[in-house]
This record gives sequence, C-alpha cells and structure tokens, in this order.
Amino acid sequence: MISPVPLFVAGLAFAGLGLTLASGGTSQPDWALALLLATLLARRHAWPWILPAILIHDLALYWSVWGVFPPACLLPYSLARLDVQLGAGLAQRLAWMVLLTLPMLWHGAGIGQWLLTVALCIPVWFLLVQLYERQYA
Amino acid sequence: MWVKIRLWTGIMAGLMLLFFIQTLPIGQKIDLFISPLVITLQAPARWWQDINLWLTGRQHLQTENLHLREALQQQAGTQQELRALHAENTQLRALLGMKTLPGYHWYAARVLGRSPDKKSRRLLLRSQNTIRRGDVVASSEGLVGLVDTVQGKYAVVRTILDASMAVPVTLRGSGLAAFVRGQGETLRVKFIPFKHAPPATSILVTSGAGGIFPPGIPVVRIMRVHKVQGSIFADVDARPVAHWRRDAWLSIASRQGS
Repeated sequence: MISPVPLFVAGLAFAGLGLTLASGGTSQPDWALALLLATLLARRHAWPWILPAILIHDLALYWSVWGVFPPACLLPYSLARLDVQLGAGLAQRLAWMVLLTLPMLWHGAGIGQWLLTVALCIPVWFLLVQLYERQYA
Repeated sequence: MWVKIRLWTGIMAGLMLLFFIQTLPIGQKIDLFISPLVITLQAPARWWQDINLWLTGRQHLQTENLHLREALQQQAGTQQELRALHAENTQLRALLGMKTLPGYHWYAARVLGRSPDKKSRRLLLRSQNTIRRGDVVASSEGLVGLVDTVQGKYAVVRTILDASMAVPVTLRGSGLAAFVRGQGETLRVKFIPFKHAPPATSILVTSGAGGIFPPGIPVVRIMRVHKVQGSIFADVDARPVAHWRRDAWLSIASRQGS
C-alpha cells in the first residue's frame, strides 16, 4: 500500500512555501523547510522525494542551489553511519537539524525566523515519527 | 575501491549538475508558478479588510466624512498651489533641457508579495497591462528595480538591493558618472572620485547610460563618504530613495514600441 504521508507532507510544504512568499515581511517560520526537515529526520529513507523538494524550496526562496540542499544530501548517508557507530539516538539528529537550518541565516533570515523554524520542526518531527511507527507496526 | 570511485563520480556529477541548475532561471519560474497560491493565501487578509469596512459604524462614517470634507477643502487649496508649481516646474524643466521620459508608457502594478531574504528583496507584481522583461519599476519616490521574469500578468522584480544589479547614476547638474550596486541591506556607489564626491544626503538619479533605465529617476541618497587609502575612488554608502517595502502599488515604465 502506498503511504499517504509523502503526498500530505509535500502538499503542506507547498502551501507553506506560498505562505512564506505571501507575507515576506512578517516574522514567521520557514514552514516548508521545517516540514521537509522533520520528515527527513523522522524517516531518513524518505530522501528520494525530500531532497528534490528541498532543492525546489531553495530555488523558490533563495534563487540558489547553495542553500539547505547540499548539506541535506549528506544527511541520509551520515545518519546511517552515525547510527551504526554511536547507536540510533537523538543527539546526532538534533545536531543535523541545527546544521541544516543554519543556511537560512546565511540567506538573510533573522535569528527569530530561525528559532521559529526549529521550534516548528521538532514537534512535527515527533508527530511524524509516531505516524511512521503506527504505519509500519 | 570500485565503490569509492563510484561514490566520488556521483558526488562530482551532482556538483556539476548543481552548477548547471544555478545558471537557469528556475527559481523565478517556481515563484511565478506559486503566485496564484500566494493570492489565494492572501485572500483571508483581504476579506478581513472588506468585513472591517462593512462593520464600520454610522457614527464613525459621519465623523470620517466631516474630516474628509475638511481635508478636501485643504486639498483644493493645495491643488491650486500644485498647479502653479507644476507650471513653474514645466518651465524649469524646459530651461534645464530635461525630458519627461519620452518613449515610455507608465502603468500601475499591485505588489503581491516580497521575498523573505534580506539580500535581494525580490517583489512579485501583478498588473492588468502587459508586463515585459526589462521594464523599469519605480515608486512615487524613486527607482525600485527591474522586471526579471514575466508570466502572463505576473512578474518577478529584481530590486536595486540585489547584488547583481548595477544602476548608472549621476548627480543632477553635474558631469558625475557612477554605478550603484546592491549590498542586500544598503547600496554602494562605485567609481566616484573622492575629490568630486557629493556630500551626504545628496540624491543621485539615473543617468540613462546603457539605455536600460530612463534618465532622471531618483535612485539613492548618499549616507557616508569614506576616503580609501591608495585609491582615487571614494567608498560611498547609500540608501534607496524609494520605500517600496510598504507600498502596495508600484509604477512600471515600459518602453514604447519594444
């Protein structure tokens, strides 16, 4: 059975991209990035559709491919290696989450927007972990 | 060994692909594709404004009407003064040999959205007229930028704060020729000899050099002029004259017959 989660998250991320563009001046999280990162952290095997979505996000908001996409490409491989060496854990995932949101600051987002994005990413990540667990249980 | 070679080949191919993608205007195309969604997402805010207008009380409307009548009376006086000033201005322009942008057709465009990044501050516009790539965008105060990409009635505007924009400028009544380049937050004026640098608060206008921007549009107000050791050119910081961040409508100058 095909999982409805990717379609749901991709749709929400697309709407989030529109929301970020619709009110460029107000302080709000990067909705699309928070959702996509949360999904990648919740299930690293989702990279075949998450990475292109992150590339589209970078192109739409930064007009550049040198945003979140290049470090995000390293995440699935790196997490697999770290999980083998350190054991599956939160620490490496939290570190990756912070690392992957840092390019936002380089592309002109303020500290407030960065904090809001991280604050949104964490609960969505845990929610998606529960969703995936229920699905594969 | 074979696995490592494959891995490195994959990384190199990926990097080359990214460099290739960077040269294509995909970001602009995606923004234009999303623009109907942006309008839809802004709809609740517009509805809220409309509902607020409906719910405004009668008393409030009467008071507002009185204030407006007073303002109208004052405006009538100001308009009279304006007509006199306009006539004087026309005479002065004729004396200075200035032109009122011949060959350009002006029309209004609504600002739909602003990009959140602080480096280029792109704008998304919508107009009832046909927008063309390369059209000049200005507010009532001065130059805003250039139309970068167009799709139907939507356009993405690259503002003068974008580092890729260089606007040829001059100081009215002088032979000064310089370039204004975007720095994200501020602007830098290049190639101004320190000896001939205009003082702070001077306003530089488009010189018309290169034929992209019509001459005479205010562009920047000079903030600071620094001397650079060992260089004849001064280091000049400037701010845009136009305040398009809060403007809901902007003007587009389209070259006639293009």
